[in-house]
Amino acid sequence: MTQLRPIYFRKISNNSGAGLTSSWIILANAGAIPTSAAACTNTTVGALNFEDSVGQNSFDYRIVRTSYNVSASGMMIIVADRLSHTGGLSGTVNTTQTTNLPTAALTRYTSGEGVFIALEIYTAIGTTATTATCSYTNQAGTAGQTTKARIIGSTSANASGSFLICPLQDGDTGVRSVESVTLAASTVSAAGAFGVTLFKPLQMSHPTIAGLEGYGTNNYNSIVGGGSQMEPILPNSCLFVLMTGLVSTPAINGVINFMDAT
Amino acid sequence: MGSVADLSQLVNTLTGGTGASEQIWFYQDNRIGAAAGATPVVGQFTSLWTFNMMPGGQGAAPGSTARNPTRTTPGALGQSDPTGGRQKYIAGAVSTATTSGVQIWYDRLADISGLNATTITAQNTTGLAVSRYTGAASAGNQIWIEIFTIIGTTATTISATYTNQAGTSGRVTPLVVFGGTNRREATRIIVMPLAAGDTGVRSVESVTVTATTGTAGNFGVVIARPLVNIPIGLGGTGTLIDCLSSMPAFPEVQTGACLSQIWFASTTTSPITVGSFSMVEA
Repeated sequence: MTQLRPIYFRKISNNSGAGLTSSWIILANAGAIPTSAAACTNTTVGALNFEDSVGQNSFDYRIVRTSYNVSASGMMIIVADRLSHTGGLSGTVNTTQTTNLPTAALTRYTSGEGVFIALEIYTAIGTTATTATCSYTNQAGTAGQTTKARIIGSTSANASGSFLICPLQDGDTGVRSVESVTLAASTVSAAGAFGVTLFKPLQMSHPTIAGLEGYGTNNYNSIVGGGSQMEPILPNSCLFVLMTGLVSTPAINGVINFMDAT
Repeated sequence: MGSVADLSQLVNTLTGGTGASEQIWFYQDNRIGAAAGATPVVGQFTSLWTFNMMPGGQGAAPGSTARNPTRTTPGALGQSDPTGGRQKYIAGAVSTATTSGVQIWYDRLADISGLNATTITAQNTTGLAVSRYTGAASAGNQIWIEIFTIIGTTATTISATYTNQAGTSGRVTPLVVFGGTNRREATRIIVMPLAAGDTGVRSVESVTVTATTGTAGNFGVVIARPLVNIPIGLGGTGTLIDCLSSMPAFPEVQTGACLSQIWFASTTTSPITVGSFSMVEA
């Protein structure tokens, strides 16, 4: 264990919570809304580890501690590796959409094992609830798989930042690519814009008390009290955070500490 | 038998040293196939076996032939098996849900369905016996009734005849309420207390419904081994379970374990759950 490395970040969400919210296009250090299919790396603007040694080839970093100062209590924060993303899909089109699809080939977790699909909303879509499915290639390379239908477009699943995970077909354990997205019906009131994000969750912890940050409060050690979450940070990882909660427009000041295990 | 010798070995294993580790993430949607998930009942257990999950997919009613579900049965989390003669343990877990309640993760050891809630004679559950946590290790196994298709509105009681952890057959559970509002709906789990002095179950031979509930429906029996409880105090928040500094202390995930969850509801909102398990081999 040769090196410890902290990454500090701040995010102020524009979402009212209820479900998972992506921090990708949230200030500070906001990423861009993707205009085409792209694989994400530590050189993609918006990565928490942008221009940082975490994610470089010569290290084997693991998350050993997270510490958060949040504006309100009642949240969970997931650190994840953003693998591939697209944009340009519409919330009012109820035929199969292939704009900017298929997703760019994975450059990490290339087998697809453990990789999740999410529909990430960049501009609010309509408020009429419907369902969405994705056609994808699974971890074994089998194309034409279809996700289970999931809710999209209700008031809890239509706002900018909403991050809607799609359960895979029975028996599948991961995803290599997504070829198309189909909404069962229009979300009616707004086309908005959304895309497909492939990601791998790495670590989750929960700041429970607002306005505090210190040992024992909103502070998690991966070994003692933190649930032994020490997933490797792969070379070129594009780290971002997801938030859950019923908190309106949460603000987070956080630090993620990494240990080099080479 | 393997064991985690000390903290150093744990860190070594988690960072790629001796042994193996696995962090497996799950997302369980609040839907059953293409339909909305069943509405939970406050103070009752809801099976999430048939809810859409990634990985693992969607479980189904097992049918009238008893079976031993494994990690590859649709609906199971699908962790990898331990290798090299080692054993596998849960070192930690973390989860959140969209509403408050308690996730109870368990190993689904044996199950059967196709039972009738209007039949008032003993219904045999031939072959319903465990293949994990066998013999004396069956102490800690539980009997659950699982409803797959809604049964009748008339509340009655039910009992099970089983073989206990010591191998004594002919044991009979105390009666519990079965049928009627909140004890009849699809996905309902009814936990059966064991006879006085018993601590576990090797097999279940039959169940007997005391009086008809009025609708046959479809229910089954599960022999289950609870492993980890994850309480969610408020929707959107979550809990870290650390098996090193807290409880439970490194529960074993046996080879082939069929991990799934039931939900003890404190609201009537069907939950979405997201989380992960960190597992180590020793």
